[in-house]
Amino acid sequence: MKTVEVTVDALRERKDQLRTGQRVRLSGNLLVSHGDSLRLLESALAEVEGDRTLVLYHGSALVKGREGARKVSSLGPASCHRYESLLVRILNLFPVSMVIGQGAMGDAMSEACAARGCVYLQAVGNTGALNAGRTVAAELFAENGDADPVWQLEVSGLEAVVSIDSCGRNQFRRAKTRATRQLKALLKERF
Amino acid sequence: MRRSYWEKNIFELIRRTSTSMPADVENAIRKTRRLEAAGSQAQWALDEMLAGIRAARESDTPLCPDTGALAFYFRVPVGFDTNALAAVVRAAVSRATRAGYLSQNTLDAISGARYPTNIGHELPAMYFDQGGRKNVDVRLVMKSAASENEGSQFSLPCRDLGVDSDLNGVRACALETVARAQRSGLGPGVLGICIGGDRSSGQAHARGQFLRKVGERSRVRLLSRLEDRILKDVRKLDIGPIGSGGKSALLGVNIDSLSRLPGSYFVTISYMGWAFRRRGAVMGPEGGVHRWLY
Repeated sequence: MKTVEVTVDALRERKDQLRTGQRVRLSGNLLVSHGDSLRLLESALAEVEGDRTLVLYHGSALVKGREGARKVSSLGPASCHRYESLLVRILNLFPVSMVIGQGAMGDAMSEACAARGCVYLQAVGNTGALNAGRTVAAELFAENGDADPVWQLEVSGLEAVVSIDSCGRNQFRRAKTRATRQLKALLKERF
Repeated sequence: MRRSYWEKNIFELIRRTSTSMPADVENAIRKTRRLEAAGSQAQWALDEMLAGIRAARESDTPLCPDTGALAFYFRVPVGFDTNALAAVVRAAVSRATRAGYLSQNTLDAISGARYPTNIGHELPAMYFDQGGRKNVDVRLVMKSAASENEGSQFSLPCRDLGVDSDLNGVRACALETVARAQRSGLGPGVLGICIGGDRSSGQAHARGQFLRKVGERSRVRLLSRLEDRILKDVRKLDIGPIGSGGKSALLGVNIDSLSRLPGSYFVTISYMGWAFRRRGAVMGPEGGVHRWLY
């Protein structure tokens, strides 16, 4: 399938055209947070005013340097399935247009995407240095205590694939059904 | 022991492990890429991985921001000062964290407070084996939390899987683990499997299988056949590298066994995602590198 170029600024108009399995090259600003720091993101977003398009990257970034001269040395997604309920909660509270993460998401995320008009994209994990090269700028969005800080990054050409579209169609659900059927058949065979 | 030599070279080992994938893993990814259809999502994912490996090596930056839990495996001469060696490792890990080759990944289990130098309670993990040798063999494996989360331990017979205490049961445990790991998007992975042992020795021995190269077959013929069979069966699951379909859900399977009691048959499976960071070196007692491994 052809890769489509999408900018965060045009995401609201474009997101409903994105279909599961489609590869996307994204440019624009996104917020990076994962695991327990999603709570920090939630409280920080509550203070953000205005009608901005939100893209959440569920992952982590290694950022070097001081304010004004920050450089990302590694950026990668983190497995989402353990944090599905937290991510769904954020989707229900804030106007998030896109979530980028790693791995599968379940029915709760599919339903939230359909209800909120959000898309979930899967990025390839552990490609930290590659994604760092696709990062233009970094600034601190929120920090508090021991939790990982939330970074706002400007990216150019970040690649990912649509896993759940804004109608709630979930690519993983189909793949999981296939794998479960195959597993049952294989367990009947013997070594 | 010359502490400064040791610290410098253990630091270099950490740098290499964090930024440069071993050739056996990279070659296995290239090989598995040929199994996927041209232009497929699976092939795109594998291309991203290969590009990520190149970028990390060229930019001398961590392959992944999650640099994982560090496990050092030392084989040292009899009477070697392992306390001094452990102190050197801690100093090198602190330095590598400050230099950005390791993320601040170590937390207090209860409070969640961060250890800024990655030196915590039993972390980094160090294993020492003394024996009749002149040099020190050191190997480092970095394993992400997500990979560790996908491991499992089975006690056979298993009613849920419908299998008995035999190698067919081991095969079923492996397939079940790979199918469950589909959700994580960590693939293509590598399985380290220990048959037998007890709950704790099985875990250690399963993880120890990651010291073997990917594609290095068991010297026990029956286990080697089982490794091949699991690899073939996993392709039929149609999971692919990121869980959305394809043949390349696994790069390799390394199986070994430990003695067991008649009343228990544990199958312990450690899962490693494709970012299989493993390096090693043979070092002289003074800390100079004789040769790099992998």
